[in-house]
Amino acid sequence: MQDFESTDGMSEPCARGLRHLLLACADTKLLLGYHYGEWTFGTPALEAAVASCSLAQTELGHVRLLHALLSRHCGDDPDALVERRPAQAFAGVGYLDRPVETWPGFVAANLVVDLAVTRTLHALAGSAFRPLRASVDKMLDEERHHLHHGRGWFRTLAGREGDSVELRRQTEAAIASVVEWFGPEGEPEDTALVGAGVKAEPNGAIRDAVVQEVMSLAREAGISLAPPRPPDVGAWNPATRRAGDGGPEETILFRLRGTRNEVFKLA
Amino acid sequence: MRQPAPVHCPFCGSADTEKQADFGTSLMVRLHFCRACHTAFEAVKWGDTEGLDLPAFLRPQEEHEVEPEPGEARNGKREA
Repeated sequence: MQDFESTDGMSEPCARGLRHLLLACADTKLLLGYHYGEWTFGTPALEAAVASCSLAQTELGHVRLLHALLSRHCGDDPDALVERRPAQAFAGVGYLDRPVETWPGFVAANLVVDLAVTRTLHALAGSAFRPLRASVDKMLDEERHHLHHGRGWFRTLAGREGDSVELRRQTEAAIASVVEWFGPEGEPEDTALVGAGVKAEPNGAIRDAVVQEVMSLAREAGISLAPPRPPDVGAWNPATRRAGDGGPEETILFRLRGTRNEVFKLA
Repeated sequence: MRQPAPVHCPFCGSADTEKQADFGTSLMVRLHFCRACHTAFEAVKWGDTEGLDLPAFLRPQEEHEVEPEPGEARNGKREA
């Protein structure tokens, strides 16, 4: 299998698929970082507050890594990716488009959405696109601790009568979003990435592994989750990873971008 | 004395890095600097995953290694 130092030599669908994949991971991590950061001041335990803050910082650090790759190899401007894109252009997991209003909602994001991106990154370890390798190894090192946190809190909330119903509701919603994010089987860009050795597994296999992992943990913790519906393949857009329009709420982007603080920016 | 393995830069992959501080944004990471691309980065201090509750794909290989099929060696290669 040929190794790539850049996108030169890649087929057009492969190069396009790589950019879309990096953007989808970066956007999800950007929004995860935002929600984790928001919860730094609302967690039910002091340790969880420290953890949320740390989770937010690592996710935003990963965005920096992915944006560096997008800048170097795909011609993107990292500032523009965060500051000057319409909400409808974002390709994050839809579960993060709205405020995460409850602690079980946070745990669902940590358990399911973080797992979906991490499982995707895992499929990029040893990628034929060599510039990815060192970045992916670092991200996986850190994500181990994120998933440990999510799984621990999931088990804790599953055992609490007052939280388990909301936990089930939020986890099912997160799984539905993640299933949409992975898209239909045999999508051409994804097929090109796997064919070129940039990605080890197709999205369908990663999606199934994520769903199975969450269902299995939930079953073990005494929560019965409804199996997710298959994605709507007709309208799915590989650039936004959605079936139809959508995107983060403007309030979330406003806060994420720190728009109100622009007046304090030095000239 | 054995030198510790170099920490590779996650931005450019270079091993020409140096430790700058024993703590970064949290206690579990160290701050490093890449001399090749002049970027600061953090790295988790310890590599072992003992005690972590992890999904199967992130567990050390031996923990979720499946029994080989008859005629198949443990490393996945077919026996001659």
